[in-house]
Amino acid sequence: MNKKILLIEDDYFINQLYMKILKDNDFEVILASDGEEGVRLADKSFNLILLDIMLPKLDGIKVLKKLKENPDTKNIPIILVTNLGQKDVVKQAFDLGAQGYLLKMSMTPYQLIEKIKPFLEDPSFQMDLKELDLD
Amino acid sequence: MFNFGKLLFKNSSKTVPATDKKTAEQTNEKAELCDTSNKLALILSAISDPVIALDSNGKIILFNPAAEKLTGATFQEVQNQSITQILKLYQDNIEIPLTQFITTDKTSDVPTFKKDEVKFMSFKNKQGVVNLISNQIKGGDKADLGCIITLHDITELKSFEAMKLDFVSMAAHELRTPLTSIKGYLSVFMSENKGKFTDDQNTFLTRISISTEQLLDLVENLLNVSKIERGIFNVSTVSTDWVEIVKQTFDQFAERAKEKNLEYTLIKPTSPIPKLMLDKLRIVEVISNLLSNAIAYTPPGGKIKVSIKLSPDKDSVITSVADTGEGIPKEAIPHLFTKFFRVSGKLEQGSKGTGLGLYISKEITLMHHGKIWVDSEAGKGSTFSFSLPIEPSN
Ligand SMILES: Nc1ncnc2c1ncn2[C@@H]1O[C@H](COP(=O)(O)OP(=O)(O)OP(=O)(O)O)[C@@H](O)[C@H]1O
Ligand SMILES: [Mg+2]
Repeated sequence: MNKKILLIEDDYFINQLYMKILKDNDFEVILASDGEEGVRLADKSFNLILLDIMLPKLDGIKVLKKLKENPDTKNIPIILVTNLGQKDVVKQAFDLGAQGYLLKMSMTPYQLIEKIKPFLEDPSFQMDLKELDLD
Repeated sequence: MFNFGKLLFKNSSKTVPATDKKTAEQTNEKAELCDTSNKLALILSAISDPVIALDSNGKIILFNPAAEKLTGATFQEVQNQSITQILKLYQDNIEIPLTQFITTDKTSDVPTFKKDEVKFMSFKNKQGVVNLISNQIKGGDKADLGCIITLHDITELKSFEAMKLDFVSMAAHELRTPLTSIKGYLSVFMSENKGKFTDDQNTFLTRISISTEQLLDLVENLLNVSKIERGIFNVSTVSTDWVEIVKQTFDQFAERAKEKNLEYTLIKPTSPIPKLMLDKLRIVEVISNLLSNAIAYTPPGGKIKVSIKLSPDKDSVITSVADTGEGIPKEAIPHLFTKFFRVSGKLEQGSKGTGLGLYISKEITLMHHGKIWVDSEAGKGSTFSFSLPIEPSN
């Protein structure tokens, strides 16, 4: 069965690009283009959630909180995929249970595919906050 | 749209004693009132903060456009409705009863009610955060006026604050987003159409791609400078295998050196190098900047040597990048590590750069309690070196 990914990303150009590349790599992708939609669409069928931070309606931190409070979604690995590199925001997200952080700007879509692989192989995979390039 | 003029007139007219025979005086008075209330209405509608007036029963009699916008409800929908049905205000999740602002005791002097950072929710499900001020309308009982509530919408401010975003973070985010698109689409476009381009097209696409990377670097450099200047650029160090880091970074630049046909070598340290307390990501920038400069400012066929050694008194590790490039004129050396400095003529020669690399490298080295310097002779080449202290405990 194909792995199922929820992409919560508001920027149209970027979400279209990531959707394409994820689909090309045989993932099933569902797109949410704001925070509220992300919370609404999330359910236990997903293997991974890619979450932007600066989102309309409900910011990524609040989305993360809700997803981690929901018994159906709390065990799905969540990776922040954002261009916001603020250390305290990312640290807060890790404290809330985010397992990874990727800076959109510093990777190509192909690199995104590489970076998400470990999370799909092992849902408890955790990136080290200390190793991250933060503002 | 609503009409305050009419509304206020309706209420104001109550102050005119109801009588069957209308005297000319009264008609005049009415016209005057109408005029005044029209003016008032216009003034109220021009106020950018939401203003809501209630009668003595807590029913809405005035609701300006800003209030409509905040609540998502039109004046028509809320007119004569009880405020409690339209808008709920909360502080620390406890509802603030809005009718408490209206007192039946007309003689008492009700203090102005003022509360900041109150959460609101309208019956249209609009929510946010406001600062609230409510005043009883003095002497308003005759005109059946209760109180006037002024709200100041701070929703956006709050969400901004919640993220503690400063200008630089915002700028970073806004600049990075379109650049991410350019970079992303370009890489997918180029890889999906590999082999289909003419040589010219390949050259153009490569130049677009290099320029995009330069712009991304520039954005990051400018952000770093801004952080340095505001004192929020800090390092958090952990015990690190420096030799390994240099090796990895060296390897990352091997391709660029090869393209320029440079002899590119990493000299193994002759004595063991202890682990150092470093902020890995930051310190990598220093060695990267020196390597990128050495490659950029050394003509094809030149040599680049990277070495790591202990300082003579063994209290620090010295890393050097030596090149056989154009070198640096003596008079330029004192300015080399200041921001935006470039040796003159560089731009005309078509080499790209902003003059930030060495400045940032110096700052990062200083934050690690190290030093950075250069030995150079114009025409012969340059050796950039920096020292990193060895912690006594190590
Ligand atoms: N290895 C070198 N050989 C000769 N000149 C050099 C060398 N390294 C630096 N310079 C001179 O010092 C200047 C400042 O270097 P710096 O790295 O700070 O900025 P830059 O390379 O011009 O731009 P960028 O901000 O992209 O690094 C350069 O413009 C160049 O004139
Ligand atoms: Mg440079």
